[in-house]
Amino acid sequence: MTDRGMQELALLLLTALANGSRHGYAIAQEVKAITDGRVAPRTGALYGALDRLLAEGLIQVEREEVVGGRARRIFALTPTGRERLEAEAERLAATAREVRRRLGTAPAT
Amino acid sequence: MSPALLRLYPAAYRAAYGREILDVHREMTIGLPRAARLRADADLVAHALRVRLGLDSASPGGRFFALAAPFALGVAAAYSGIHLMKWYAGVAISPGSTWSHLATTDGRQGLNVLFLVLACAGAIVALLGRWTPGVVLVVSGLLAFAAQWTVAPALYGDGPFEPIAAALTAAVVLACPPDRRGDRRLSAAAGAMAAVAWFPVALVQTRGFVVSTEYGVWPLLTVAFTGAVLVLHTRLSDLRGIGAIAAASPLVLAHAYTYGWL
Repeated sequence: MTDRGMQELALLLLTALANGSRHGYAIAQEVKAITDGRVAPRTGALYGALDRLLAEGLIQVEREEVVGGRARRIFALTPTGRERLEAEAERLAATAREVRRRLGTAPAT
Repeated sequence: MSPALLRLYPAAYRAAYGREILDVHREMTIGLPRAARLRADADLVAHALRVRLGLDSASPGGRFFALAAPFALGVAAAYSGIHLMKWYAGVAISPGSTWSHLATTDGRQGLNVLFLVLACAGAIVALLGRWTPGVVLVVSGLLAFAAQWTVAPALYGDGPFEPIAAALTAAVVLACPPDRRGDRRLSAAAGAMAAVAWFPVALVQTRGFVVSTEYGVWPLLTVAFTGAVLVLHTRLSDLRGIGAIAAASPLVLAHAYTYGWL
């Protein structure tokens, strides 16, 4: 992940966790919902990206739970992850504002 | 997916997360068509192998190859571009009509050119941001180019250095973790490196720039210079840049050995 911007899947995973902690399957479903089905992460890609975000300290395992005999980790944003997500949202918003300004479609203030 | 495939994960990782990953995978593949389920299984197998080999995006190995892969693509583009220019010069510039040269081109030579075209086009496509189709092309081209040495060694100069280097370059490109692909800054730097490595040699090949020697070492010098810039641009203490450039450079080393030093 560079300072110039996050890869889309990482950004979507952080976004999926922005309003609450979730387990792996729920994160994948949330990403599908956020993107209207455009992005449907496969299991390998999902856990590869989650491992990376864990290693970078942007998410953490909030707790582990057993449901129906299935053990699963519940992931949550860390304070660093929240800061990073806010910075990324601001960067994207600034780009969108500039696009609208140049297209002449910026809403009147 | 069979639970047996979980064995592809390292034991510690499998013990900690294998059951969870398998359950999630089952939930995510319920109701999928067979082809989509196979793609999902292949994705999980690839993740397991990456974790086992230390090439997942969270590991130092994965980060290393994420840095090396764009430069390996740049080297593949420059190398195949240079060899295509050599072929073009042989066909279009040497005495005799172009058509007669093309008509008498040996089938093995024709295949060799096709593999170089695949490698060159694929590398350019991947560096321009279409990673998956580009990498499919470049890896197919490089591996076919390498494999052809076993049936037509006369096309490859002295020894198997260039085909081995082509296979190594394909491996470096494939080792890049999926969620670290296509860094725009690295791709731009690798593309610029490829252009600088290729252009003067192309001028020499097409006699647009008259000199009497073959620039066999020029691409290697360009790659070495790129490595120096990369290290200076990041941190002098960061030796990952040098290692990544070294991993990306077997093809230009083999080219320099064949055309610059022999």
